[in-house]
Amino acid sequence: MFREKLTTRKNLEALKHEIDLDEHKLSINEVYRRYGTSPAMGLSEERASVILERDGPNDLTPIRRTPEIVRLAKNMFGGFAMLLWIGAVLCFIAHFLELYTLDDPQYDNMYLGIALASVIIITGFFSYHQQAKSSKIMESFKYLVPQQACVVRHGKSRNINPDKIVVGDIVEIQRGNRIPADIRIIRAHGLKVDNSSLTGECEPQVRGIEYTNDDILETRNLAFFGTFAVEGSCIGVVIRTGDKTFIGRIANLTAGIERGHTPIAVEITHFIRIITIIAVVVGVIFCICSLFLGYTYVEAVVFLISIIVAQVPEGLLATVTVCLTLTAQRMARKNCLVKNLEAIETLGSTTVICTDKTGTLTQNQMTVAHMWFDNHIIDSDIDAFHTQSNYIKYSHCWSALARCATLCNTATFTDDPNNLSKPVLQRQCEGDASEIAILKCMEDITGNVSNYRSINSKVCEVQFSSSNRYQLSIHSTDDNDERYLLVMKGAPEKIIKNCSTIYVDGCEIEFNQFWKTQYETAFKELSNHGERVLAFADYRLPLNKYPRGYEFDCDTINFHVNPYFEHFNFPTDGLRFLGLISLIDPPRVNVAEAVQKCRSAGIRLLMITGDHPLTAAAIARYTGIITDQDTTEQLIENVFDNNARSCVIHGSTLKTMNSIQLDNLIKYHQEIVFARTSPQQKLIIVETCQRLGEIVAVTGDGVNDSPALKKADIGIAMGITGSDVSKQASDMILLDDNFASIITGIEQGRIIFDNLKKSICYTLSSKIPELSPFLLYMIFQIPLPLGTIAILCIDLGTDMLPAISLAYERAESDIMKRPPRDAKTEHLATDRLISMSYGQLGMIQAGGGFFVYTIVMAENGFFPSRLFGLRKSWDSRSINDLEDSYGQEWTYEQRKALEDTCHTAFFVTVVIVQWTVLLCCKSRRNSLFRQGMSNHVLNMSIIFETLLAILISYTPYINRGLMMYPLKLHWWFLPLPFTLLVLIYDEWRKWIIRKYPGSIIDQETSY
Amino acid sequence: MHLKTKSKQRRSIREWYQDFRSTINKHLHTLGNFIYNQEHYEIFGRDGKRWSKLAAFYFCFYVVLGGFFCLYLSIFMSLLPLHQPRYIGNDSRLTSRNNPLSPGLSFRPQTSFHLNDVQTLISLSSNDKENQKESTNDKTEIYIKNLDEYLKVYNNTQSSKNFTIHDVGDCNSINHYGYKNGKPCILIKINKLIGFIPEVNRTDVDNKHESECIGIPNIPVRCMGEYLFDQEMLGNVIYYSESGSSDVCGSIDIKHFPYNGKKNRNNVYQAPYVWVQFQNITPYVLISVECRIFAANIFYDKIAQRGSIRFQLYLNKKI
Repeated sequence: MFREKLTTRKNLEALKHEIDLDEHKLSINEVYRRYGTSPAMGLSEERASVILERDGPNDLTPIRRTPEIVRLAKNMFGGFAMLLWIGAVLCFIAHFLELYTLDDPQYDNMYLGIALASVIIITGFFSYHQQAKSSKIMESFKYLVPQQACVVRHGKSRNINPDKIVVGDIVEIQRGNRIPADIRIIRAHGLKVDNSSLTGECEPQVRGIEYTNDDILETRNLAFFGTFAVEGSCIGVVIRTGDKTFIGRIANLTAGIERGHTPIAVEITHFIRIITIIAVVVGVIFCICSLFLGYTYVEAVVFLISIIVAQVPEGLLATVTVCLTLTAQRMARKNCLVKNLEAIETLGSTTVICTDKTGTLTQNQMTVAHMWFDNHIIDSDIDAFHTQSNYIKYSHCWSALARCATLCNTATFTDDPNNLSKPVLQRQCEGDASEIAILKCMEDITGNVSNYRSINSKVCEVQFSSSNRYQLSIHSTDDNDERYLLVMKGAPEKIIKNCSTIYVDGCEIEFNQFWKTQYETAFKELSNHGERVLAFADYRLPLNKYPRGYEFDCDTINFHVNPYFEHFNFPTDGLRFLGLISLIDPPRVNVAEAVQKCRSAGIRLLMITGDHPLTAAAIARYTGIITDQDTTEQLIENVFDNNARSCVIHGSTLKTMNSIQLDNLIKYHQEIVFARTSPQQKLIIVETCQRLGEIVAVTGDGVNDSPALKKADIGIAMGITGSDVSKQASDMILLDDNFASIITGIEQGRIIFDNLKKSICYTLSSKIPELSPFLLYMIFQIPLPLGTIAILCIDLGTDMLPAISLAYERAESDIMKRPPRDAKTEHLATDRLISMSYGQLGMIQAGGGFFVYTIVMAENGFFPSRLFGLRKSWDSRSINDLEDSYGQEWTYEQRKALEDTCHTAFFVTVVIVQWTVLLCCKSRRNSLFRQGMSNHVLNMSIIFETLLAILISYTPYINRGLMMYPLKLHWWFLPLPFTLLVLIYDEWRKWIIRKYPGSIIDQETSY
Repeated sequence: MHLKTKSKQRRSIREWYQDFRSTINKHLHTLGNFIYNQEHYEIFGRDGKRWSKLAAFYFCFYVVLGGFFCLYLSIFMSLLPLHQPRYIGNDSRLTSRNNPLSPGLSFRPQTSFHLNDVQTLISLSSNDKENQKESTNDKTEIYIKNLDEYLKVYNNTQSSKNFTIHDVGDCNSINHYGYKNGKPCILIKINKLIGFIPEVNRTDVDNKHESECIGIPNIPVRCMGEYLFDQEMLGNVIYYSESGSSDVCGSIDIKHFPYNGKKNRNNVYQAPYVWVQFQNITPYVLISVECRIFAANIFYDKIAQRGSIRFQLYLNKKI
């Protein structure tokens, strides 16, 4: 077993390394040679079956899942439940001890045992149910696997089950297919793949046969298992199958990662430890006392068990679960869907957020940011445009640029009246992201693009391809110019080569060195903003050479077969340079504010993105993740300077760092942007943070993010753009993909931590009034003032709703302005909380209870003096004539009826004193008058618990079942002085705390 | 290969064990540090100064709380009526939902031996000295003492409402209440309830137990074996009541009711009772006896021992 664990751990370590793949760099023939295949014939069936035997089927090995029963058992026996189980077992032991040794055994311990067991089982099933929804990681990967795949074997193409595919197979992929394995592309026709399941970037990417990048995700000639061919078709040779594929490795990595305990689980363990220690110590002390008092050993053991069990907070497990569930629901309403209840609090104690860029911080929608023409950079913000509209209206340059941008654009609005009636920015479009951005911008500024396009009809076009990196089209114009207009758009360095003139202030002048420098400056500035820059140029084709009706030939080139062949029957140089338009995926509106809030809440933000460092840095600046004013180059150099505040680090640099350097990097830099990072690196970054004791939240949307999401203390997936896998691997889903929603989550997480403290303080305060009757019964031998059933009525009945209602309590101060909880020093339950709850609030309650007990006894004839030492006679069935202080003689049954009445009165007293205890628990420092009574759930819960107490004591049959008796009306008012005392004492205490911070009261009673 | 894996496994177990030990050590160290921190002279996380401050705080707190409790309690106690409880009869818990106001019966002698509970068993032995152990002899003495003790109240002749049974047969201190010769006298009395007056019954003829007592004046009291077997073993029973002796039923006169609480207690109220003497009990058999009282407003309940009482008799040796 150990060995098995060891090997899986080793495998996991291996998976954390980058995928080792060089097929994209090799020539295609070398690839064929490596896998012993040929593009025309494919593999032979025999060979394929041999390889299949060797490599195994092409599917994702399901990880050995924890059997459902084990998971259920974990919920039933983990942490708090274990404490309750021990309590329940002790109860049964005590019961059997009594059963065999006493003539007249009571069934209290058995009832208590049964109640405890039921509580555990019910809450166990509840949290199991909550968890069951969120453990389908491997299932979610299954959706990525195609149903059918077309392979070439023996020179014939045939459909086979994709799990039969082996390396070296030649596969044919049509539009709409899922790619059945990792392939090197041999031939492609306008292929575009949707890599969103891998990277989370939903823009379909062009794939072809050319090797364009060292990075395997970037290079054009690879397509990956599980991605989707949205356009075109291709043929490829399979280079990886099954678990060795890119996604297979991630799937295994994700499924293999085990996460540590959540902070709240750690806190609850700590709490259990305190409670257990107190219970055992008190139990042992009184057990020894009882031996001195002359009880037998068996009795002493039964007392010991009873005392220990009496201190188990039965209702608390349910309270905590319900509090967390309620918060989860509240968060769901604010677009945070919480899958793992404990994660809610984790978010509150988060110290570092590793955030993705695309889609989380940004809108994931390309938008025109700036334009450069007439040697001016103009902000394309619509408002800015309108203020400058006069200038623009009369600028010839602008109109030329706008014409070019409008015409040299293949994007269109989806033709649907409903869609067209929407505001421009929200309309559905078809086409490439940057083209859509330009289309929207033009529609917004000039209006009616489609009309403009139809009157300037397109004669011919050359589509954008990765090899030529421009696109052009030729139009007949409506401006009474007979000449055809050639418009061109593309990568600036490409366009600039083809231009000989530049259009400035309505004059076409030579594109000389001065203007080139001007252009360079503008280009640099724009790209430093992280913007994608496109250049625009046009050219009037001379009428004599290209008269109307001239046959433009664009089809002679086929980029996908031979990209370097460029020969048109019209010129593509000597163009007139018009200007630049820069695009950016802009940050979401409220992200900067959210980042600011995170900062003031003491949370560090690290940006981890697959994007280019410049773009990443620009967005980081926009959103305030980087506050340093240094240039990006400077920031990149900052990596090894431990004094620098911010830095930008490239994935390739990160790859060379060892763990100590990584530790230093994260320790010394407050603001870090990780650019061009791989999924494995993302995971390593998260691990490094955790090693440094940080509590890490990770946001992500792609499959590539899922290992990090799983590893993080809390993984946050995106609801709209997120892949299923990432959603399954995460604990929380942002339904609106908006980073700002995380802030809500953090706030709720912090509130719930505070409120759980209050809840615990409230719940524990009734433990003393529950325990002390038994102790006094034991030591002073008085008739038992409070029975086990009444205790259960308090713990599982009247106390439940008020304790839960504290979850609705609003924060006392601005919790988003203080640093996150220090997991080492700030605990859920502290000795001060216990001292306050047990020693102070609990004692006042117990005082009230004993007072009412005494009065009920006295008014029925038993004076306090008579009660001492009465226990034995009182509980003896043989004595049928027990005399009270007035000489009346009580039969056993009559005494027991009186005792039950006392239990009821004690119970009611606890309920009534708990009114103000609840009010006191509302705040930890603030006066009740400042905190207010606006928590209506809490107000209702007070009424509810009172009604429940009335119901329990007055309803026939119910009161008989619970061994309660109706009370005289005035007994209900007896506890009121104690109720007031609680309020007065606590207000005084809080006043002292506020007035004299650091005083003994503050030190010992503020929790 | 096999060996290799084994060694690997062994190492990992050892590693695991070392891990385990180091964690335990760490925990113990933290615990030790918590209990007594030498650096800061702290016991359980607080130094002497803080502990004494805390103690002082709690001392003040509990003094105030205790004072409040006592004050409040003394106010309420002083408001309590002097001679009878605030709630009597149907207002008090003597009446509960399944228990209409009815007095129970009780018997004497009722004692406990050593640390044991009070018993409902009366165990006798004859005065054949040779076969007797000291302890059983003691038991008889204890019964006699118990009865003497109880009857002391009745010697006070100044009481206005004296209760005396003139014909008591063997059932007096001089004759050791019949205990020495195996004919025990049991004293059956009705529980004192303030304000309670039993109503003389129209005798219910249908009840066999009760029908025996037809013709007995006042409130009849009758003891029988709990079951048929007990009844057969029980032998003859003689009742000595205020109104005379009978071998069928005893009786209690209602003139002794009601009990008026403390006012009467000062005058030493003498509760009415009946002597029941068992003449010839079958020895070596545990006999369960149930005595009942019959009145219109006394509701019988065997389990709750309302209007009834059960006790056991055991005779050690045939006399």
